[in-house]
Amino acid sequence: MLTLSRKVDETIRIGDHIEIRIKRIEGDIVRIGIEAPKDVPIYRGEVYAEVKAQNLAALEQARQNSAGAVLQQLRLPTADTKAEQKK
Amino acid sequence: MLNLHELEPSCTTVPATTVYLPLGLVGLNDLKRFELVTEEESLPFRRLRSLDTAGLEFVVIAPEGLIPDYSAQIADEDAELLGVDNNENPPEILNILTVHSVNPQRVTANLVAPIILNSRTQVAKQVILTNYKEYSTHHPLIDEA
Repeated sequence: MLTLSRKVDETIRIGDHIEIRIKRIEGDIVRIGIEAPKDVPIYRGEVYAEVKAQNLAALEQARQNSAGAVLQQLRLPTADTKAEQKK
Repeated sequence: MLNLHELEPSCTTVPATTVYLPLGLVGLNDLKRFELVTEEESLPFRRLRSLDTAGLEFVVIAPEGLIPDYSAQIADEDAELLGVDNNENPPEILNILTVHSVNPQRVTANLVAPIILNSRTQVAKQVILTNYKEYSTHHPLIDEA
């Protein structure tokens, strides 16, 4: 991995269209400003990983269970079914 | 002479609308074209079927009335990109479900990253909410276990 040292207000450019600026450093928290074209989505790494994993899980489960068939069977719990489940 | 209009199905048994996600889904950026399939008997569950890869589909729901206190807040940039707002052009919200098991029924909903759809332009984006910390990617929707 390329590793660079930067001071507050210094920038890094990635290609011609993306700029990253170190805005503030407080203890172990770094505030970073990012300018990128609209078609470049920007995510926090851990949130990206979690949403991607959930998307893949949703796809895989829909494939295994055959979503079309599943849809006919799924029922949201209503007050009645909740009461029945308790019996 | 063929009239092209007559070739188009005037009434389909399964109503479907095309949904374009120019940026794809999070982590799956190749999946850009979908069909939102609404079958009356399956509501509120609907299917979002890939038009790029056969056999890929998601089960989705609109959260209104099903997920109490769900307040999806999106960044101004995302609202602008999609051309939606709170007033004249409210978006349609779809949460992706994971059907963990059918018997007993165990279904979770991704509340962190809903698909925000401008139903007028049919353009959508899977958006990570600005208030994502309040929600789970696997919120229990049905849990019979």
